[in-house]
Amino acid sequence: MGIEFIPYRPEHASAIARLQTHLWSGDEERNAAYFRWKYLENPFLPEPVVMLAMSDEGAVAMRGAFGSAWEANHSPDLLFIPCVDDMVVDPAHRNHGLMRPLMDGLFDTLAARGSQYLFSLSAAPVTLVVSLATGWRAVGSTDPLGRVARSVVVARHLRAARVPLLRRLARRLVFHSERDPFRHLDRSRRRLRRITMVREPRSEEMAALAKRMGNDGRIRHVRDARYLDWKFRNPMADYRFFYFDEQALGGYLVLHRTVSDRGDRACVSIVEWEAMSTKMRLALLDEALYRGAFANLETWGVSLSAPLRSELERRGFRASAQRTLRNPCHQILVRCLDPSVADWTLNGRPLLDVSQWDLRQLHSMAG
Amino acid sequence: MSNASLRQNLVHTLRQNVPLLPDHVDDQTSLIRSGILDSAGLFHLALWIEQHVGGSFDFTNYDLAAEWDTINDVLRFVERHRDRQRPR
Repeated sequence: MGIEFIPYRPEHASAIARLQTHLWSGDEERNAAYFRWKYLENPFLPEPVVMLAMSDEGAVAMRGAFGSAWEANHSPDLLFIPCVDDMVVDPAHRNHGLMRPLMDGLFDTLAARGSQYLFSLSAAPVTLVVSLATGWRAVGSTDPLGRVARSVVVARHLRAARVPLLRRLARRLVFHSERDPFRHLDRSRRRLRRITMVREPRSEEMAALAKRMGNDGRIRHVRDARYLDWKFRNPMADYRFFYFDEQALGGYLVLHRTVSDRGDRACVSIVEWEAMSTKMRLALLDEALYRGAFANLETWGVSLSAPLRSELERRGFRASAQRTLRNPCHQILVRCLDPSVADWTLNGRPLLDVSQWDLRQLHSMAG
Repeated sequence: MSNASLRQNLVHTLRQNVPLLPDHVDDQTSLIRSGILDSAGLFHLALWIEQHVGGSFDFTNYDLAAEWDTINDVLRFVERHRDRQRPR
């Protein structure tokens, strides 16, 4: 049976939705919506760059690149950089040499379109190992910080006991938080004068605030209204927005959870958090913690300032003690498509130095 | 574990997880650059190395295609990093 490596064409959409039941979610309709959103409606790379391995059975492997836009070193010019993602091989075809030609095809296409660098913003274990063996270099870990409620810790102990009665008790303890981690938040009737929680994003105002905040020249994803509008339409995500209002928007905190049955639906993440002052930032955080009563809350620690990190630690957030390949930190990876480039930089900022980045989980597909 | 049994253990792991592994693999056969090891095979190799180097080993500072391309390379890599991780 021959395998053909070809670029995506519109007639492949349903084959991709089926193939991605091994990665994105078990729901083909949701996968089709996600593909449309991520690759066809992307504001920075509207023409999809997706390579497929096709057999008589249909699509058996895929690798894609979606668009992202960055700014660095105070330059007003946007830098459009494809993010490589969605590596999946049908289990029946794994370890048959499909990934290499698929990736080579993708890199050739991107190089022909003039891309110099590629990013991978949340490489999971298999992708990480394959990437490090194929010319990618690691910038650093996303440095996840987590805050786990006592009920979850107790439930873990009860489950480990392997006694049916205790396991049932464990299930009851965490049933609601696992099924709907926004339950407390959505039921809360608490109303504050300045802080509100809503389900709909105020993208224009968020973009205006991000612009008012300026930047320190680190490598950072663009946060304009068009991008935010698109990002918050992610069909694999469920968001809640906390806003701090003064005369204009003074701060925001965005919570995310995945709706995919292949992800951890019980885990909530703070994926973006910005405010005109530290006081506002902490007020947003405290309000989210109070109203949400989350069982399992995470955020990326990678670009947090030391004072903010200690504020999170004071509120119970902890870095994971040990990471192994089976329990990894996601990694930020970079690849240069031009072999003549020795120093990997973006507007003069070294790409392989994680302190040169201002990274938010929102800008990866984990947020 | 002696070097010979480590090698035997490595080849056994590769045989179990890499269907494209040729019948005859010597210590200089290219595994990564040749494309013999695909995604799952590479991941199993990484797990094997992690297990033999110990604990939470950080791979991200290495060019894996250069460090792990042959059985010889892998054994040398394990030897080098196992020594570094041993308590002094």
